[in-house]
Amino acid sequence: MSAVPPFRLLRLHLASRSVLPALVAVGAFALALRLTAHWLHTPGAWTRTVPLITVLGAAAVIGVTTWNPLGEVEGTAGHHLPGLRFGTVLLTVATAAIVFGAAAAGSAVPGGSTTLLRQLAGLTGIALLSAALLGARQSWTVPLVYTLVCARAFDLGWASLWVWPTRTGPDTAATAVAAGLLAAGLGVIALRGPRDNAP
Amino acid sequence: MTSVLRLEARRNITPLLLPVMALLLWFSPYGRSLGDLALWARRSSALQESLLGIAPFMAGVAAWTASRDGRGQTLDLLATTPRGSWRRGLYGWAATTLWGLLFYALAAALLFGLTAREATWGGPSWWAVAVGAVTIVTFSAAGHALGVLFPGRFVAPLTAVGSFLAIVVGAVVKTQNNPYGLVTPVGTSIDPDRAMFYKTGPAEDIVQLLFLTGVTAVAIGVLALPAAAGGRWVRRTGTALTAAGIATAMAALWLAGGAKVNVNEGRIFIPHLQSTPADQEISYTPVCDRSPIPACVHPAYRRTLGQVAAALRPVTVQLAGLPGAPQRIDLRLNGPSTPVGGAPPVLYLEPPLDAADAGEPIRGGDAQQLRSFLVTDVVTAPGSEPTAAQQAVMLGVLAVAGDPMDTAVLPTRGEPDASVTAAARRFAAAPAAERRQWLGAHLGALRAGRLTLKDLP
Repeated sequence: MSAVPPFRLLRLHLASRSVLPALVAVGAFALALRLTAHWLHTPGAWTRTVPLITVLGAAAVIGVTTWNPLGEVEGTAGHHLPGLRFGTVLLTVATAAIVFGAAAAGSAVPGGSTTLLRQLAGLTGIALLSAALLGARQSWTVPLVYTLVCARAFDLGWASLWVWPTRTGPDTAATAVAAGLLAAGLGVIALRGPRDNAP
Repeated sequence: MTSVLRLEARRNITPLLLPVMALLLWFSPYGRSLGDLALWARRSSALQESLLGIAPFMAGVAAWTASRDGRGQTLDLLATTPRGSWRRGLYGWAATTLWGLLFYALAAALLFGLTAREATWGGPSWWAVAVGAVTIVTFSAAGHALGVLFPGRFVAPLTAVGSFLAIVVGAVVKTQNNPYGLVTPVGTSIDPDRAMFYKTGPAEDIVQLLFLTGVTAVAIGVLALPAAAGGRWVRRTGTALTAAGIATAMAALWLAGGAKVNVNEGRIFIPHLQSTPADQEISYTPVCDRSPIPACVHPAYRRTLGQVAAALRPVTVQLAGLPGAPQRIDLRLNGPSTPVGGAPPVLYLEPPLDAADAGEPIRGGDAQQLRSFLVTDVVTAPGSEPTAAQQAVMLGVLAVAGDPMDTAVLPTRGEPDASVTAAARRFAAAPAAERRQWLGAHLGALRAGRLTLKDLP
């Protein structure tokens, strides 16, 4: 049995994770942010929530891309799987970061690009950890619940580290939490993969 | 039919999410309103605002349920069953919607049950309840339609997050006084406190109900249009539903488009549904205490009456019975601009609604501000800058009431000079009987601005 060429293996893995539709969806959320940016110049809880929801959309999509349509059989097919899973998630996160950075550039997004990218990283980490705990298809529920709590935190003026997405601008603690969540999510998904493969 | 619905209800994943939705309800304005003063308008509004947490989940779950057959690759198998795909899918949608409505009904019953025990005036806004229920039906229908049309792995998260985004963007648009934002069921434009004093009517609710009903009809109708959806009657029903839904949603947008929204003042006017933009006061019988000058509040704020009266009493005991002093103090929103008027003379003060709504005691700064406004309205003429003598008497009366000689709450520009403060100290130090005698003899002249500091005792 001959080995699959590396590039073809990567392409097949990306196709099995529906990465292209995922990137289209990420682009749609970034476009939504860009289109609504001119309404976000007024300070307020609602205007601060809009960018967070758009990055939530990207994070939720990235979490669902970890679903494996091949089931347990995939695990027996070779030892490249952790690297492929890591590379796939990293590719989608990096693309999302570039797309959202471009969408926020020169617009009135509250908190600016720094806050947006931190929120993207942290929420993606939560989505990946949820995929490992609950399953890839259910991974969007936890980030959605957390974002709803953060939306309320915007309204009540909470700025605790428990609701780190509410912090804007350069904030070392919030950045550390977001980076930690992303690193943990990436590590767990790469090594273990999502919890189940139910249709 | 009932057995299929029961089967779908058992298979539905909404019950698994009910604890999460209950947690979100607690974090929403719903949970916070339970600690505030029990006002029906505020609690009804809080119930409607809680939809922000419920609606995206209902949409996501409905999309998940509707895409189940597509994900499980059982569509070909199901195509051999006697029922068309449209009618088959409706059971799953109905099960999701019924779970959502059951949760909402329980949440409403709990909130209104607690409010009924505590509230002292008014009743629930059933229009707000109806908007909430229809919102759940609509988001569930939209999720169902998207799940059927795009049964991929991304449909549930995209539907849930997209619904969340749509609601919040609608609220953002509304807060910027854009009338089309009125179709959004959250981010209410009407101030609940204002709704205690002025008739708001169901105009905004009607627009929202129309829009949501239209979207629901379109979402369910378009699924009946393909040939595989069912027979001729199913397609005809789908066409009629889609057409009616588009017409209803467009009518709602037309009604909203003509509206004038002022979110800062918490008021809207929809010309096609309301006859006049002018405020229509709600008639109510105020509740009053037995102070020397009785303080009266809206019956909904009856629980705060004792605190309001206690806050005013140190000043009312000094002014009661004086010629020109009010015989009643009425705390109401946007009272008449002439401070003391009518027969018997009534003084209108703005109620401390923020503290009252939050269930906080009316003391400290709030109480001091009430006393300050009372003294100012009694001692000065409306619209005029206080003279030095008026300032000194105001500060003196407030000092006797126990307030610090702090001019921050008085309607003066800048700090009064030292002579005013000295006169105020002298006035406050005078015996109570002498002060009262002097005020009885000179209050009219003082109010007219004819006295100087030298005329004070």
